[in-house]
Amino acid sequence: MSAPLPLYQRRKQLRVLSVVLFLVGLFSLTQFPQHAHRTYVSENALMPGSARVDYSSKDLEAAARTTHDFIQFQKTIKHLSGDLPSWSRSCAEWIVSRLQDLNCDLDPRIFSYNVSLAGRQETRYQVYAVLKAPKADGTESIALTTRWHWHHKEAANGVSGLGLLVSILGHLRTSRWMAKDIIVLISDTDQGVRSWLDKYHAPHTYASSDDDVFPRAGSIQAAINFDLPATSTFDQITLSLEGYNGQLPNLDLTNTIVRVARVEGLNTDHKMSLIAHPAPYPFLSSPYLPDELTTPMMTTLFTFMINQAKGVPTGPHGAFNTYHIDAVTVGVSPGTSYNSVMIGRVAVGTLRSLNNLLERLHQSFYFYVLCSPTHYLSIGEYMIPFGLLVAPLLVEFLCLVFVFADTQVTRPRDIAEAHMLKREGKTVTQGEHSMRQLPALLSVVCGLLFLALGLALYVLPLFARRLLSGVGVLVMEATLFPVGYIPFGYEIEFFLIYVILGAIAVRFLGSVTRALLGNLPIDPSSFKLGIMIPVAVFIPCMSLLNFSFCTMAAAIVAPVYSFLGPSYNHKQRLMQALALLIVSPPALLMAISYFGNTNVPALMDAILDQHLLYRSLAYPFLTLVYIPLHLAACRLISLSPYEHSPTKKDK
Amino acid sequence: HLRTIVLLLCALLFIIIPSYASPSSSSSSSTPSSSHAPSNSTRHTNNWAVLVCTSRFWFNYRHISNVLGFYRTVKKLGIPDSQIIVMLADDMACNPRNVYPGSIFNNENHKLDLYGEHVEVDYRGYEVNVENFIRLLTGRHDPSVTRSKRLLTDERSNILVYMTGHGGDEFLKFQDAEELSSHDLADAFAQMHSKKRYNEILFMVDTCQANTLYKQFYSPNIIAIGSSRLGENSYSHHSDSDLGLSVIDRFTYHTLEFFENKQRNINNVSLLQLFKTYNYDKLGSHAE
Repeated sequence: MSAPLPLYQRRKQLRVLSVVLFLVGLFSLTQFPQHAHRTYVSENALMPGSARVDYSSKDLEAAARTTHDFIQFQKTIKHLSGDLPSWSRSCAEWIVSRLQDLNCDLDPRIFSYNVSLAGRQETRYQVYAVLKAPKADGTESIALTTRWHWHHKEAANGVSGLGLLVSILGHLRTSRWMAKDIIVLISDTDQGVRSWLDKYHAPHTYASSDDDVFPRAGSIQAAINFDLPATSTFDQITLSLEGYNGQLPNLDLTNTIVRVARVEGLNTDHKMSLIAHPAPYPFLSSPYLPDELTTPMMTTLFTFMINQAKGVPTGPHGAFNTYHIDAVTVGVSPGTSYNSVMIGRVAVGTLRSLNNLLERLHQSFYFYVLCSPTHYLSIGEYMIPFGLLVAPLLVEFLCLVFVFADTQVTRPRDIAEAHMLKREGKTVTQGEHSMRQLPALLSVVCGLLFLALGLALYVLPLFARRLLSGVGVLVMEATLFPVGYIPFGYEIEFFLIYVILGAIAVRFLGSVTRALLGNLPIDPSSFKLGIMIPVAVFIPCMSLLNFSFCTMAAAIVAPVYSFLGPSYNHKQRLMQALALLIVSPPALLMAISYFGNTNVPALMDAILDQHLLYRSLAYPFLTLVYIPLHLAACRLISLSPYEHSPTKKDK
Repeated sequence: HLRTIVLLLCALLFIIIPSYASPSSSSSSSTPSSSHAPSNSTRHTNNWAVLVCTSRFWFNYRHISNVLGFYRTVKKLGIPDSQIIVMLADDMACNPRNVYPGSIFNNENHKLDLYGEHVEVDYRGYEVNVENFIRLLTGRHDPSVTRSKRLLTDERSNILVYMTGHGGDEFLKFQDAEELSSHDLADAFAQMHSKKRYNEILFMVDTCQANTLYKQFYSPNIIAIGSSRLGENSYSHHSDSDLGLSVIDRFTYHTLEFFENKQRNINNVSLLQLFKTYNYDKLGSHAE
């Protein structure tokens, strides 16, 4: 054997360094709240809170009256509760009549759309109307959306989202400051907003009849969604920002709402929150965590990051992201601190502020992390901990590249010669270098073969979904998952399926590898390089889009996979196998389903659905990157380290 | 020998004496001067005013109302419309965001509508740009430009030049698209001097870091006053909760207030009295 390369000597130090960097990265994540900056309004035109808001208790009474009337109406049509489309239509028609009573110029319309819920397609109805600003030129608009629910809790003088929007429309009828039209959309499901938006922005043909008319109001500059239970008082205003795949609206929108609320008398430091009510992740406040990690700012930060990582929008406002419209959801948590009239005043104040805009919000950040509605960290700062977390991965990747480059003295003549010699049956006696070229290159290719596996994993379920539907899915569920009644039955079965299918896949790829390499030995470092290429590309690139998801992925992937490799003794191999077991895809899915209070098949279904709907990253990461990586790593640790020596034959 | 020495002495005398005899140029004076010296009053026969607002957009409402306030005061004090040039973006009164359509106020009591009748705006909208401003000052126009858009001054005219908007270190921003630098302005005034287009100029500017704008003046008979020093902002006076923005700047507010109070005995008012009314506590900046 030739003298070891200098890189191998330094490799141990580099590994120690990358471990240290990783730990520093983890620690710095907990330091975010201390380094967060106070938010500020970047767009000078907004001037939030400088205009007096006239929304008064008179308007609030109108809102409460509308809410009460709607709840009474819903009681009268209870007999339709089995037939949701008809119920939907009746409610929509009631809302239309109410809006028409308000203002004859409003022209409310019913928009029907198809939604697939629980595997069935249904037609639902929603109402939208455009309040035209009399002095403006109708090229820009602001959208206000809300949902109606099937069962409202009756509360005296309670104001729901529907009541609020109707009262705002009534209030704006007499205002003289409107420079943009107001679009009001009242829907019954979250998908309704998406369908309406798609139709709004679709190039359309001319209406063939009056029923086809779809009044539009130019380009939508911003949208606010209201998610209010029918209460007359509230404790906190909650803001939900995360949209499709963790995309966020411009921070100025949040800043405007916060400042308007402050001017209206809300204590924005304590009575404004980013965590929707009820809190989605109770384990974040569990008493087992240390005190520093359960402060309100840390809890908010973690909730924000988990929401962003999931990629599921935290409200129907997420649909607006697709069309680059800044949107948030405003909600309340129940309590008695403030009267609901404040919500109306905040809404009208925000509208007035957004009305001053001359162009879309563009001055403030689109990539940020919030520890509270008034504290942020921008991309320039939160990427540093991310870089530290990814350090082991990238350091190892670069080491492997250097090793590969060292062995690769690319001379096609040498490769051809080696082949010729082999064919003639002569043993190759040339130096180590030229002998390592070919196996090194081919080993990289063998590693990349696992990427092909990933592609297959990504594409097949999509096809299967399309082919199987309804009965097919039921049959599949019945045959594959009959073990729900055994405790942990799903998990064990899933694990077994993974192991069996994984072994088959690795076996198959192993034979392809052998066919490629022939008698040449497999080079473990180059093989590892090949399998690390997808993950080293995926995580840094996607972090620009969805920082939280890639941070969590890096936190799992980086420490384990950077230090794997063929080892000299059995104890090391056992430890590596154990580590791989802990982070295996089944184990991860089990852990996530435990914290999410669901089971593994439902979780897998949800992951696929969310990717199709929201382009969230969990599904591509799992199929394209992680499962192949895990299987390849299992193969990697089973390689013998002496296999790179050309004198020993491959088994 | 003696003849050469005498000749040299004469040459020296001819060089030294004229340099003492030439009038000292009073460039940007930061000390206020007294009112017009008696020798100049025979030369001064007419007054002109050039009022420029260099901003547009709704949130710069106060700059328009600054200029319109000056316009009204200047008209009341005797300069006729034919001798006032007003440059405004003029997008406030009919802006859909204006809750008082057709009106512009510079006070939240809304007692005085500055945009009522008889407001003659000479340069409107996108015509307010650096090129037109320099052409106006120097008198170099296209032959088709009307008389109402020209500064028809002569060597006996005293001109008030008032500018407001957003500015910075030695520049003034024109409508978010371009800038006027202090050098260009100084050169324009120098052209005016050489073409004998003014007798005296009072140059007032109300922007952030306004005093830097007149730093480069080198022509005689110009008094300049800005609302703030280098590194200081000029602040607005108060905001109007009906309109939802600030309606006037402090420097302009105090200047106009001074003239409102002095209307009875306007003939005996001096610049020194005006300068004495500016103080840091009221303005939040150093007007010099």
